Amino acid sequence: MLFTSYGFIAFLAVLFALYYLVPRRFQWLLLLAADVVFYACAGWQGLLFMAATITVSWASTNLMGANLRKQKSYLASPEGKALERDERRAFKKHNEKYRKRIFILALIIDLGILAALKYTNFIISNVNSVFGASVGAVDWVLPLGISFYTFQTVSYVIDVYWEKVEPERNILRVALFTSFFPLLIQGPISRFGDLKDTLFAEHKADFKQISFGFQRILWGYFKKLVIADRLLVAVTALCGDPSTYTGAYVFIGAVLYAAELYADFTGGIDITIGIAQVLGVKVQENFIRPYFSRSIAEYWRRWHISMGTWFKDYIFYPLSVAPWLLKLSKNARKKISDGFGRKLSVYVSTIVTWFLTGLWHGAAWNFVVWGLLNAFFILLAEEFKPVSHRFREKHGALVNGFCYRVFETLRTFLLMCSLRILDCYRDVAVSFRAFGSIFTELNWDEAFSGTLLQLGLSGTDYIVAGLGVIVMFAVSCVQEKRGSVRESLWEKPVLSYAVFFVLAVAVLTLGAYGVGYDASQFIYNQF
Amino acid sequence: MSKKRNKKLHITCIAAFFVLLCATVWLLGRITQPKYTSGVLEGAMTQEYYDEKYSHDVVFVGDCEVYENFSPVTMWEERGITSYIRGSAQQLIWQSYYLLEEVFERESPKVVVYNVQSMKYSEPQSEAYNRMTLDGMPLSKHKIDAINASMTEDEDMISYLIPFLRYHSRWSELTDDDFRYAFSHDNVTVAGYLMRADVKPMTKLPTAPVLEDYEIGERCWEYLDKMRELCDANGATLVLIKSPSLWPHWYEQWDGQISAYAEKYGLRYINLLNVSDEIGLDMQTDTYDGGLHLNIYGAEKLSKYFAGILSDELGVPDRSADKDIAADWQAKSEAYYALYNAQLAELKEYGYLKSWTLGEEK
Amino acid sequence: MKKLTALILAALMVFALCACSNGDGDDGKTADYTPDYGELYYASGDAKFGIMDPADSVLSALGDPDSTFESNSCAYQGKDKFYYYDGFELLVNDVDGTERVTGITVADDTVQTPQGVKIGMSIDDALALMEGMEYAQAGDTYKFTVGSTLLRFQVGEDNTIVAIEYSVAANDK
Repeated sequence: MLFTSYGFIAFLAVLFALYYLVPRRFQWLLLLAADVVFYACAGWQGLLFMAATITVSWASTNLMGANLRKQKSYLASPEGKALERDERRAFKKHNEKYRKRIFILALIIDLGILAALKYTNFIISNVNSVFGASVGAVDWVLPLGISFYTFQTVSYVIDVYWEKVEPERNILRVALFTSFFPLLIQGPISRFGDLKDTLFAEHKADFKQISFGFQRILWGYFKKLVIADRLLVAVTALCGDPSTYTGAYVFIGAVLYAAELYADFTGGIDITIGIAQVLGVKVQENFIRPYFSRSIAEYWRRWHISMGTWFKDYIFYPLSVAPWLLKLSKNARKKISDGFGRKLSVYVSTIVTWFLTGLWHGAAWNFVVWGLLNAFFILLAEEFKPVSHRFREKHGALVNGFCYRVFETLRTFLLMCSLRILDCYRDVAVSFRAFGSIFTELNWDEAFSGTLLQLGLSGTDYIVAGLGVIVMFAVSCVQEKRGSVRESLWEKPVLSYAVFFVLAVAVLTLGAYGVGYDASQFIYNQF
Repeated sequence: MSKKRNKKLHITCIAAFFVLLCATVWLLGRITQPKYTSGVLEGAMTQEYYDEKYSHDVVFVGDCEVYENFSPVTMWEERGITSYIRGSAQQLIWQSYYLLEEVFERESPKVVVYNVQSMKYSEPQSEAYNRMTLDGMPLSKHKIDAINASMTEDEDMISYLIPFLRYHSRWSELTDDDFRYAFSHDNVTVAGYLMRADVKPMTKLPTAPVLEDYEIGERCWEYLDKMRELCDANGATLVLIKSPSLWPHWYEQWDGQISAYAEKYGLRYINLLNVSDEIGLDMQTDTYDGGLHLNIYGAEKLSKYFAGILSDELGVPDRSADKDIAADWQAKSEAYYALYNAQLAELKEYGYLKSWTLGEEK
Repeated sequence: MKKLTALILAALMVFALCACSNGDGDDGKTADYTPDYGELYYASGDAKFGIMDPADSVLSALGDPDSTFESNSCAYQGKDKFYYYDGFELLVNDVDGTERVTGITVADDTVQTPQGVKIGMSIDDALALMEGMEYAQAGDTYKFTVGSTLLRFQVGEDNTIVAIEYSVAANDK
């Protein structure tokens, strides 16, 4: 069920109505039923894979929990207290080992399902090309949102293992956490600790929250239908024919893609968070106006935040303090140089984290290269930090000025656009060639002599998309300065509903939906 | 502002929001819905039936092979027969059936004539044709059933019920006609007949393509049964015809199956292809597109012939003595000749029908 | 400083891609559809063509047809264009904005397919001429499929071929 389908809207309408009609203690069960319906619409096979993931994470966390409880109660008992220190340590170690085994097994199964379904063909094609073999590709159905729900589950299993959260004993609750449908499409990748209280709680109909939820959903549809799906046509045409559309077209394509991806992804998240808000469930934000970032590191703190923090918490930090890496770092300090040795662990952790981030986005080399380039730029910026600091200290007035801020923002935006070319063309060589042609082929005159009108978008479409982007930008500026737009309009109901009336009419009139438009999925569905 | 008052104001605003939104969507739907006033006229045909003041003794249902080939005005002039053609472009049998259900709710025709050409389609075919046939129907159970039976895979019921959802993207191509005809329409047919006064002689017809399967689909039979039962229940005689259009090819195998069905249920099936000479059709002068459809000259010949069958063999009465009905048909007749003269004038001026086609030169 | 970094990196990327673009040449457009009909092509004189070939090139290779026939669908929802040549007919349709050959029908026994199959020939002889190509039989129709091309032989009561027709496999109805 696509977020933009009539079926989905009808599904929501029924769910919202039932949600506040059923006794509140059953609300979470209704949500679980809704998840099953939603997920079954995408194919029952997906349900089986998800059920396996749920069962594994529920069983493993409860086994670990039970073991920990047993360990604690034994140590607190007179018998345990009577143990010698070494015996206590040995007992603890023994139990920890048991929990570790369960933990690793759970990770292997959860991530194994994801890896097998998502990466088998990638591995086959690479094996074929390296060894000249001809292993046939497999035709396995990728369950909807598998990357998202697997990451959510894995974070839960890790958090239980790290004793950060208590294991949930009710498997149905674990199932709801894993399958909560608004998050399945494109995140945010939520943590059990953050979601459990709000997800399983009883929710009284809160007029303001429900109203805000609907407003946010509407805003999401505006971004998705008016801007993203309209621009998608031109972006697809430009990226689909890299040998014709070179030079200026690559630049234009990258900028259009930036607008399209942002509108698509944040629009989807607005719909997600809006739906959750109508249901009284609080979901963390996934974007904080990332295109206002002044550096790549800041960008990644503001774009797809839940993914960034996931990799930071579960890959980067554990890796950077991994004993083997610390040992390596220590050796390097001794044998190579102190500076190098000190940086080694950060370098390795950053590169591995971004390599995996790339791979998470897709089983293809273009995503891997994209991830590694991100790592490269982040580390480069890190290297130049002292120089940058000196420059900032010396030219404080300039650096704090508006123009410099705009320059930094624009620079970050263009850099990210350039990296995203790898995502547009989905091929490393083609992407690099395309990027190069921006500098070598100066065909700007040709691009603006009417060719852009042959990409499937009319002049009116560009104007509508352009106005949409301006509205989006203006709203972002207001949010950046004053915070929530909905909140500031709340005290002026007439104005507030007038604004959302215009927005609703705009979505219905200008939205790229219905016959004649391809029912395009949110771009992040595929991850 | 107190919290309570604020909430009251919010609720008032929400109510106003929804009322205004519904009104706006309805209004925009009326404006953006295609009007089919020039070029492609076929989409305007369904709605014209509801303007009819008097009932009809004969109702034709079917596709272009009825609305292009039969002229009710000629049948009136010839035999005083009151008839109406409920046809539209590629009207499928289930659409004919539901339009007929609607007919019987409004009037009691004595004879229903169904052209069997559309029996070749047993699956929904095209969204564009569906729209042309169904958008003109007022909301009713018949319409809902017709939509359900007609929708192709990518279509949604909701966009039939709220046309703005389908036509919203026309906002950038609206013309004066879209506003002028938002709440009214001018007739493009005369009693369902879509006139063409131009001539394009038939040349050589292509070889009939080989078909995988010559069996008429189960779904078509199901609806033909329903149509027969509906006519029976309403005391009307169902007549099956195959219009004398030469292309697309009408296969012998199909003809055999229809004949067998007619025989089984005691229906009259007239394959008019077999009596073209008797009708006097000359495909050098009587078709406007090389044998696919008849022009006014062909339609008049066919209508005269068919009026004879209706009146002599099926007992359709002559209503010319009824003053009110005669006056109504007099008006139709005037519209018919005015239309004919207007088309002749355009043919003389441009050499082709500028206002009734998409404008290609002949 | 970051500006400098960005510049250096941009330069590096440009350098890298200059290296990439050497000698690789045109890696081909994917936008154009290339029909795949294998042995199921048709030939007339020097012209060889098949289903889904662009109509322009086929028609210019065949020269002026004897006559043509255009079949407009109701309400301008598409057009079938027929081109008559000695012994065979071409059907041309607009496929996603390009006019393509969507049907080739052998009209009489004056011509034969490149394999030598003719109207009036016994189906056994015809199958022998097709040299073991796989086929499917449904009633009195024999079907050969390659890529998007479907070749059909229809046989009459005495097991002789009465119709030979090439069409688009996807539209096989």
